[in-house]
Amino acid sequence: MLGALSALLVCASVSAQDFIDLESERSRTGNSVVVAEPRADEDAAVNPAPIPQGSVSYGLNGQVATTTSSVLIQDSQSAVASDPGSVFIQVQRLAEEVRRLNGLVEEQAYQIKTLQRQSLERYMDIDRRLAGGSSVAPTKEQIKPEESALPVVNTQEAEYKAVDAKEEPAYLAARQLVYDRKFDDAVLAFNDFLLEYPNGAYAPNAHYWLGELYLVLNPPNLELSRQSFQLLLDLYPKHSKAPDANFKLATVYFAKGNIERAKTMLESVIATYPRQPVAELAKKFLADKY
Amino acid sequence: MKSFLWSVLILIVTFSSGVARAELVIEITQGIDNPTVIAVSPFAWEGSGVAPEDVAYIIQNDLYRSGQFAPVARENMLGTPSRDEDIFFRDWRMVNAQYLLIGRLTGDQTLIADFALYDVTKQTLVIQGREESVVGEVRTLSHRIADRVYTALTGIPGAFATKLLYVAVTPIPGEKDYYELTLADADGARPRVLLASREPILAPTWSPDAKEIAYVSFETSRPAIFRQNLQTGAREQLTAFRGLNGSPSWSPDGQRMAMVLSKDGNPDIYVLDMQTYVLERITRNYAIDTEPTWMPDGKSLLFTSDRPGRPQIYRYDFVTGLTDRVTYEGSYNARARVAQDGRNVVLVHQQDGDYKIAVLDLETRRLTALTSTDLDESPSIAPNGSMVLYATKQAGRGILAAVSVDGGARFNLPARDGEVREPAWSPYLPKTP
Repeated sequence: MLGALSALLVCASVSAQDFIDLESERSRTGNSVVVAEPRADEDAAVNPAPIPQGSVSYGLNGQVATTTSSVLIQDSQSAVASDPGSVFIQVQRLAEEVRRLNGLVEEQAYQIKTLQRQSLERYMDIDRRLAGGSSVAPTKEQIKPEESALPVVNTQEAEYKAVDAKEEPAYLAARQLVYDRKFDDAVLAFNDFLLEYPNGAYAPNAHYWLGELYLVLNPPNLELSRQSFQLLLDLYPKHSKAPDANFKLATVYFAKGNIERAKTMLESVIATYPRQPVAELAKKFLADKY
Repeated sequence: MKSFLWSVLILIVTFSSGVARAELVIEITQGIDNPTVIAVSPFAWEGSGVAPEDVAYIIQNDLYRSGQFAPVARENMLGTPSRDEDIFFRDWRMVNAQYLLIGRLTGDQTLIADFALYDVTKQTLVIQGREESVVGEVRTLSHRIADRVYTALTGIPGAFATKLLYVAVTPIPGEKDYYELTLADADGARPRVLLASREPILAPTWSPDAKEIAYVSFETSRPAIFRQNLQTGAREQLTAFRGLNGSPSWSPDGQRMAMVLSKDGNPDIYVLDMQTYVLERITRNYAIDTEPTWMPDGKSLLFTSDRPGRPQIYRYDFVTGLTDRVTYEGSYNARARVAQDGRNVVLVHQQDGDYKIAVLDLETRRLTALTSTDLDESPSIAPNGSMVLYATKQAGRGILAAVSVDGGARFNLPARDGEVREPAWSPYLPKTP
């Protein structure tokens, strides 16, 4: 008996539609399938009426409401299930997809080839410089800014990242090469480090060191230095090395001849970090060079 | 006919005892390290009779729940001023309060609350204002004051005067489970049943103006999408196609609804024009495409697809008609929801075999896990983008939990009894009396 009742209540909206055309259903909208008699007494507001086996919707005052059906319901009932795509259409779609994927694979193959060539060139470049021996030690002047801005790992940041047990030793070893003034080796070591731990806790510091190191190589590689600092700023804009990287990036632009851009950047460093030592460096640089 | 009536009566009797609303209880599990200490002095009641609610207590709990505030306990207060001239800042410095909120509540059918927020250290007024409501909406009035205090002190719009939708499931021994689609305040108070059913209710969602909701109900023996007017409860069954009818998602302008249908073969994304009832098919792929959600500008959709072999998030651009992949990290990323800023996307992310809630920054492409349990699902983001509400399990029981987008604050919202799942945080609500 209960089942019959619930079936009646539940299915009223659905079963009825098999026999109703679209127009008449539209005109019925609003009062079509009454699921239950509306009741809005005080009691219902406090505790909605217990429900029968079916489904009942309530308004905010606990009143029982009605359910209507959209025109789509008839469409879906009357229309013979639309053709999910004959075999021909499916094959066509697959062919299209294969073409698209083929194009993608070709593009990616090209990109990989380009990357391979670039990394080989970079390696050869470093190799050549190693063979030539960059024995000329940078002057005190050149090395000073990086001493004043030793990479300090922000302890809070380090906490959030799961530090690989081997990451810190690798980073420290690379840094030791800088301290030992083996700058060419240090460049290789930091690049290896970044390949191994691209998202490591020390990755920002490694980017920073690379930026500095490319400047003290003989000859300096301004473009790679610029890329390193820019990468650090793009990936870790809030990192504690960001102010210094901003300043260094400005000086690199200056060295590359983009004097206007360097000036705007230096001014923005002063404006953004007014209370940090880097602001003083920027002011001094502006005073000396402009 | 007579027996019919009898059975109805019997049903009413059997259910009136057993049906309890699944009310949520809040358990705060983690706050940020250095919360702002705020004292909320009890609001003076200047109307007649008994005060309708403890307004100060509601405000204080709202602020506490955000994780960013530590309220001063009432028993530690050395005075309970409600007017400017009664404040002794020394008293509040002694209990380390940084801010003090005082207020007065008066009125009859319409309640009026005047409040003022002071900086205890500087001994200055931060903001003062007035909120009004009908007597039955005194909780809303309190939440609005909490919103204004929160906005004044954090610079972020408050989202306390918002609502939650969730599905409460009560097992009934020897029978089918009992499902209630429930509406509650953002603090879990005032639960109201919007739909009661003996068949599953899934994927509740809000219209952008917060006046309507949509969901999937199995009441017609197969999944069907319904929309329901919140105020009247009147509803319209939108779809009943062969196969899957799921994951409704209203467009930001309220004119269209994205959904998943499998009427043409396997599950694909469709967009329904709510005026003309014209369906537009968005994806045509032999993979499963599901869980669409709109970007706030309405120009693109995010959805989950298993076209790369495992579920990942993709983005469909309505302007170009192109689809591109959004997530690469992790073997499983699904059920995306976008914050109003269009930048943070919360999703279910699988990492080391555990399903966690994670937030993806679309600009930096950084993915950060927010939760540490292993079966977290259905994330929903607050309209101010500060908190993520999600479903999880606690001791094998389905509960709701919330975490701030920075991972700093957490709280759980278990039901008093039964299970709760499928939460949906409302947009900002229209201002009501």
